Amino acid sequence: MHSDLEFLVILNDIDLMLDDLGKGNAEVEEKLGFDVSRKEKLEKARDDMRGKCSEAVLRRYDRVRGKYGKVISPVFDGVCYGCFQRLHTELAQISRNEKILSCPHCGRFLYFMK
Amino acid sequence: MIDGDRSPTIAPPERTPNTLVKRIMTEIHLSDYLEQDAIELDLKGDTKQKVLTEMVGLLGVEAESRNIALELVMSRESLGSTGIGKGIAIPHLRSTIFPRIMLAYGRSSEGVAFGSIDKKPARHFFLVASPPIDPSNLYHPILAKIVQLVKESKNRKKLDSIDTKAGLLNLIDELAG
Ligand SMILES: [Zn+2]
Repeated sequence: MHSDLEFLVILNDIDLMLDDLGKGNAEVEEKLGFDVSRKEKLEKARDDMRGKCSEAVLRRYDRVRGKYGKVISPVFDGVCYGCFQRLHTELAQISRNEKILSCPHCGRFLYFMK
Repeated sequence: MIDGDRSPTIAPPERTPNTLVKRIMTEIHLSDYLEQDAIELDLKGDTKQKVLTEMVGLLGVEAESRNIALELVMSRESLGSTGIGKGIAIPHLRSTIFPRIMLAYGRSSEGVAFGSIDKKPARHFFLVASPPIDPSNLYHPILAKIVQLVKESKNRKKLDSIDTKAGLLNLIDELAG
């Protein structure tokens, strides 16, 4: 896998975790008995991950994230699961995640699933 | 701005009618999400990181996604330990790499230091992995169901006494449907 793509997936998932905490889900987890008190540690993990990504990729990431919370979109059977549109054949035939590709319809980064 | 593409998550319990919570809880069968291959009754790891690596390995995701899963499960731990005490840990994560909700169960005879609330080593591990968007809103109810299951000391004793994977699945069916 392209290492930047791996970092982007992690970065987006951490960003979504941080979004979740702000949406009352921290309280849900606390009620269940989990400790979610060290939000700054998670923010640090996010910043560390940003430090691993290239500037160009981060710029693209931030631009797409301005539009959608979920920046990485899984692809199953040639369909982008961000916008549910079919990718053109050439893109859809790629099955490995060796390149950083964006969905031509919604602009999200593509993560190909088997 | 960033809400547009996320399905609504389950309302916090106080805003959800009790009947709905009950219905969700009775309709969820943990064993539907736990494959036999995702069970390990003899975890070898002697540190938190090693045990979590073993647990992530049980999920059966592609090798290239395992690093991602491990990094995320450790990031979640940085927020606060998922060791809820009494030897139980319920590490959980959401990531694009999971096509659906998956569970894994692991047991360690020695136990490992997990930063749990009661400082006791964790011996029973339930890993809950979910896609970031979970249209059926099962993530929190599944976490709640596991917490409910392990709260009772007699259930924890039963978890200790199981010696086969099939036996573990049967026990989970019996205790939590
Ligand atoms: Zn798309």
